[in-house]
Amino acid sequence: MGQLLAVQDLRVRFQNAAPHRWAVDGVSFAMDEGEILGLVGESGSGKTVTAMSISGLLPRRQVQVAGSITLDGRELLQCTEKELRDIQGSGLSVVFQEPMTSLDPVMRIGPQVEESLRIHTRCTRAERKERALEALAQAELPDPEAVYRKYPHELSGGMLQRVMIAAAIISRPKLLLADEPTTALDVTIQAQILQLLRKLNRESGMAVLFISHDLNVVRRLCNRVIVMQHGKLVEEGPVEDLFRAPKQDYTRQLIAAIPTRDHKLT
Amino acid sequence: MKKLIHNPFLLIGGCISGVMTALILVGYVWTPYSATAMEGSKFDSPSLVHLLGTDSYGRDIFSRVLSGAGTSFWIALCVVAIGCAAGILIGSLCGYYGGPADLILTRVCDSITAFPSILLALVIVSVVGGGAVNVVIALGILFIPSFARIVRGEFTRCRDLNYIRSARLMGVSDARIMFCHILPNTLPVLLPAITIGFNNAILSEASMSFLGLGIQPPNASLGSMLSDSQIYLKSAPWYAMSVGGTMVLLILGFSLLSEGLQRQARQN
Amino acid sequence: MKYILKKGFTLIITLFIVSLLAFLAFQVIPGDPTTKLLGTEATEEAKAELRAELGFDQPVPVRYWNWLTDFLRGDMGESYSYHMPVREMLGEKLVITFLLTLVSFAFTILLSIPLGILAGSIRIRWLDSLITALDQVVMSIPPFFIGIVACFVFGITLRWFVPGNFISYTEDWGACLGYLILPALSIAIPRIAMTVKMLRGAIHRELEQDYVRTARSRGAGRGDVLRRHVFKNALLPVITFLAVSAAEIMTGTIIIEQVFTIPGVGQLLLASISNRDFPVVQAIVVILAAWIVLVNFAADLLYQLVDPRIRLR
Repeated sequence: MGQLLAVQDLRVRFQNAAPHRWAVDGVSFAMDEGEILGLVGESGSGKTVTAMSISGLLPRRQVQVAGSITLDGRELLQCTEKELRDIQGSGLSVVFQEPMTSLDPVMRIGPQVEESLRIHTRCTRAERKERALEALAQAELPDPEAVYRKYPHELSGGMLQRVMIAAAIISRPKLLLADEPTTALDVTIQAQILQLLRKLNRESGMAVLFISHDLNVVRRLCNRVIVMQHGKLVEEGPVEDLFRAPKQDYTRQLIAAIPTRDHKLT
Repeated sequence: MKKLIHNPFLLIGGCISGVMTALILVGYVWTPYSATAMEGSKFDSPSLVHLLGTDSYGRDIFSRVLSGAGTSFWIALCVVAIGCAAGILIGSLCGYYGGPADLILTRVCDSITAFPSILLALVIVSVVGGGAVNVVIALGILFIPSFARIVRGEFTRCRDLNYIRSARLMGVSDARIMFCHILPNTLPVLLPAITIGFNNAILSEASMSFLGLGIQPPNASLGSMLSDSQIYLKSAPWYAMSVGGTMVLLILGFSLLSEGLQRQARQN
Repeated sequence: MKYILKKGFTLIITLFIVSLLAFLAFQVIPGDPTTKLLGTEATEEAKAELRAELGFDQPVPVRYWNWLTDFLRGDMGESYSYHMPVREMLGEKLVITFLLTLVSFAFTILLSIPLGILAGSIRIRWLDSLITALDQVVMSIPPFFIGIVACFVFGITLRWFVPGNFISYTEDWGACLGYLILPALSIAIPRIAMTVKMLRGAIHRELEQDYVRTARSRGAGRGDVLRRHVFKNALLPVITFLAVSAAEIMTGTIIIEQVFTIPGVGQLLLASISNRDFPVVQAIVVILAAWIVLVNFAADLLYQLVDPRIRLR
């Protein structure tokens, strides 16, 4: 399998931060096509900023980005805004943490799911609808036809996250960035969403960069994982290796933070 | 200081309203000419002798504007004082205790604010008659709901905060909690409301006096002077312009100030 | 549907309360209206006779009921000063004032929404600051001062019209509307500035929302995001604000009619207040209040038509 994403020596600094405070400080990693990679770290470790740099959603005026990000052979950091927009939503999709606020409250679900098709393809209205219904079905939403006509406030958080996933996969991207997609959801729904992501990865060969602060969730989904702390990459390797023999203290602490049956939380 | 530069609204608004207030305060004790003395010739255009010219009776317009603005300022101050004091009292009691009384008062306040205050002031004044005192009382009462609403909102929000609950558990009296612990917290919202209220009061009083229902002659406020000046628009346009301009500057200063205060509160 | 019924019910209750208050307000007036009508030298018998004729000898609730049913039938009583039916006095004046309100409201909507959208979409920092500053200044000019300046510039200096003149719609519709343009703009201009400020703020707030980030992650450009998502969300709160504006504009006409000497309801109201001609004042107040309540009702309905989140409840 070929390489899909390569991040090299990525550095990100916010304009109003102190001169040597890099939010992301020299991160390098790579992803193969069809791989599920976990990106783990506590809040403030720079994992979300890394994901935002890859997706090109950082406000260019306020942020200084250095290094290199190549997606499918294209250097993203050198792209113009227009070129970047062509990639966003077609080669690369994002699912965010808060499904409740990530959808436009006054627009029906349908047009929101189809949005990337409307922007990137010349599909007719009917074709778009057909593919939207297909995507909603793939995201395992019951009765896609009804969901298509609903407004976001009429659906539950778990269903909305499925809608977000449907909107992300409709354009058949090669890479899906999932930024803490299950954190805002109940535990049972969390498990369903993880299962769904796994299924979509298997069926369509779409690579997933799964970002979470929860090592346990990452363990259930990913084969390989990278760990970030203070903007730096501290550990990388297969999930099971990490659990068996963590090389870094930090990783050990993250593993210890997982509640187990042995030491109950009081 | 650095904050002020980052908040041009507060800076410029503070300057304009500071200068206007200072001028008005000076005007209470000293004006270049007597505001009522008919000394100069009629309709002098603005000059170094008469900064803003003279009116139809040869009175110095600058002095008249100062004293007129003083009257408007004083009335607006009284209106806001009445509205704010009563509003704080009603709003804090309703917000802190809640209950059916709160429900009814809130509904009443809501329905009063649905009507423009000038219309209601007109009704009151048409029943009890015009004049400065009646206008102050009428507008003062009409300004209560807007303050009560804001204070009530803040009190209901603060009532259930943990530090208020713990104060209550420690046996701090309700009155002390309300006025020593919650009230200071309402300042960031209350201050802009007071400046906006002041503006509305200036505007409402000016409208009433412009219509001849507010300040009665021989006293003058900005509103009644503007109404006078309209007759001489052709022969002495600077009269209307200086009165109106003063009004605009006064209102602009306080509206910038309130905008600046709101931005400040949002930043903190 | 249930929502509309509920709102309609509240509307009727509110109108009822407003009419009751307007009625009661004019019952507490000190002094005997019969003295006003017959003069101080009238005999007691004549006064008593008139009181009976006017129904003043009946208890307040009965009088309220009679007044209300008469009012609904279009009989608004008789003027104390002119001894003619209030309805006849109001007729033409009411139409002129409503015309003025409508023209002014139309200006407000037609100018403030495009200007607000423009102001909210501008990204050049200094231009945005300039617009904000200008907006704040325009907001601070009282309508009647704008009116006076307009009289001076367009009436006295440019001689486009004669200040103090007015042509009623009964003579010439076009000329009447022409005479209403400047007064309408005088009322509308500060309102437009307020609406622009509000809309600009709303657009900026909406641009910070998560759904904007989502749309951008799908490759939507700034214009696309604004047009397809932001404007609709930002316009929702403006609907309520425009309803308040409609009420404010209506009362604004009272003052602006004075500036431009337009023979509308405002002039009649002021004359009646100084003559203590209460039936006229009462009728005008009830009509203005009803207008305000109705406009708010319409805004409520419009809001729930546009905002899908309210439709369910």
